Amino acid sequence: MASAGSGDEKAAAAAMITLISSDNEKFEVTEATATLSQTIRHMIEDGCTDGGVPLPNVTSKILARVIEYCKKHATAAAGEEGSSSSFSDAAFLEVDRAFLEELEEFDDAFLEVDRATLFDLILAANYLDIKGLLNLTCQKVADSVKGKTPEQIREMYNIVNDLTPEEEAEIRRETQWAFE
Amino acid sequence: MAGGRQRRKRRLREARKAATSAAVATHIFSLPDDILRLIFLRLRSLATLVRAACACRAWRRAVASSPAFRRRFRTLHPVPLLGVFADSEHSGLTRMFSVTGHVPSATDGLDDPTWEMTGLPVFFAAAQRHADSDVLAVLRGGDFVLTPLIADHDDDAPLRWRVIDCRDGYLLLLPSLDAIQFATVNPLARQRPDYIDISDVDVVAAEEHRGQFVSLDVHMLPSDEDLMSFRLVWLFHDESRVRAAVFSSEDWEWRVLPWVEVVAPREEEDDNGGEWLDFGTQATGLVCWGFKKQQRMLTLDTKTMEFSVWELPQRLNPEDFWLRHSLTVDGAEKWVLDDILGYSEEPELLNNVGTPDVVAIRDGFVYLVASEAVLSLCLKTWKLEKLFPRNFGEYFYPYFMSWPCSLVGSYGKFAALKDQDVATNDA
Repeated sequence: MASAGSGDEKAAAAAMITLISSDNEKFEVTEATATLSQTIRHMIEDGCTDGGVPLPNVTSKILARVIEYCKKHATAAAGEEGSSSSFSDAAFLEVDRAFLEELEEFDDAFLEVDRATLFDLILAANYLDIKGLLNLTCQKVADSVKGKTPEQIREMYNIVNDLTPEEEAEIRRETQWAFE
Repeated sequence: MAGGRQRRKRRLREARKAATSAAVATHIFSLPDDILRLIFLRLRSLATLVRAACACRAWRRAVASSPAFRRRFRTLHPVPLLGVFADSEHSGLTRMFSVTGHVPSATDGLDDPTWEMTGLPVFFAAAQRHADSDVLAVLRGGDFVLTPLIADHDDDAPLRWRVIDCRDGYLLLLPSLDAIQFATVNPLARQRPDYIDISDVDVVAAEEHRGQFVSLDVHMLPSDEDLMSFRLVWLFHDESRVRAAVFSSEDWEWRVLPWVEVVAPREEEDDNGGEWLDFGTQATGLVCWGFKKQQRMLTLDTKTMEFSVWELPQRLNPEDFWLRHSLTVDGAEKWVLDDILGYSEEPELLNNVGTPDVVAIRDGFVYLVASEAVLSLCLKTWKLEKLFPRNFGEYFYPYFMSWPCSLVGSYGKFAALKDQDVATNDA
């Protein structure tokens, strides 16, 4: 049973999936990378990935970034599985910690993008159902409004204030404490 | 399979559309409401959420239109205890919520000298170490002096109001024993108080009573779905039965429910002068009233408005422990002893503060007040924590931060806009 299982894993690791962006660019990725997306995982399970997976909501520019994220985190996931089953000594934990730190650095660098790209990444993560990426990108937006006034938020995100002065006054009167 | 091909075609069509619009940079408005809410859930505090929701109409709507979001946000950011409202104690006789367990009812004992007190309830802030900046902002910005009640005061008689319940930011107040109205006021919202006519409620409730008729206490029940609506439950009992008068903010009317038999008359009566029920506590959809001897408990299901009576598990040592009861459903429902926190297990926390009493249960926390400190107990982790030293007298109501009314769909000017907003959404 064990040997059959590892054989399957090898086969899975070698299996490649072709992802096709909205502008018709093709990306070859391993199944392990692709299945970080629940959407693609379901397509693979349903056996409808022959001839490539068209992703009409994702441009090549964004898909390249998404794949970059998935590759890094697929490796991380594989590393975690390995650590729990084989090693648990302090040296290995040390390596583990270093790897997690590296992953954090990768995430921070990954988020250094302009706003439009960030929103595109959020939409792609949502469409492809990649939980980690969705969390990461949403948190980035959430952090950006921290300590900001509504005016600053509007300015930052080019939001037109469509509340009438009376409506805004009504909200502010009742929540004055939040504006101190 | 044909369906699959059609889907693919449609996808390609959409893709082409997307490609043509790709030249335009994606704006934050491209994010659908459920993603906006995912972002808002990750905001650090309620204050940040309020400011974000104030950015534009769509953002306010994304927050206000989803009770599910409200519940999740509150789970992630439990509302803090801001302080307590205590009666002004210049006479030294006031009492409403006593830590010794005896809480006089809103209207019992007409000759009760405690009603001689004047003035407004006094707010004592939760003077916590390393207070959260949001909590400090609320304490700075809230109208804890209750100026709307002063503004509405229009005769020479001394102003007197006392808190009889406190829920979701609203205080329920009663001016005097012969009063004909309650008032509700929200210190955070800076709105005029609402007044609720109570004339004749106890007269109707007293009809057909047997033996001594007691008006016990009043509870404010907020609505989970619509924060702008609430109900009040006013409990009465005679020698063996209970009945409730229920007020609904929907039609601003009282309804007196029928008498319900609870105990065999006089069965466990002693020298309590016919008062066999303790004052009630509200928790997780129930209002619970203990019987004086603590062997049984009366509950009111706030959804169905049905009364039940439960046998309580034996208390092991009422002085040293406090008990946690939970409702189990296995064939027959009953209350079981779930866990015990031995006071002796927490010597550092409890040694110098006295034996605590439960004063509020909300959002997974039990709040306790001892003679020297206010404490909280997390029901998940069973961790007891000292919040702040006790700086108030014997009669008080805990006051929690509330969800801002302006972040609810049906609020004020936005109530009228709701349909219009939906229409634009569909277009």
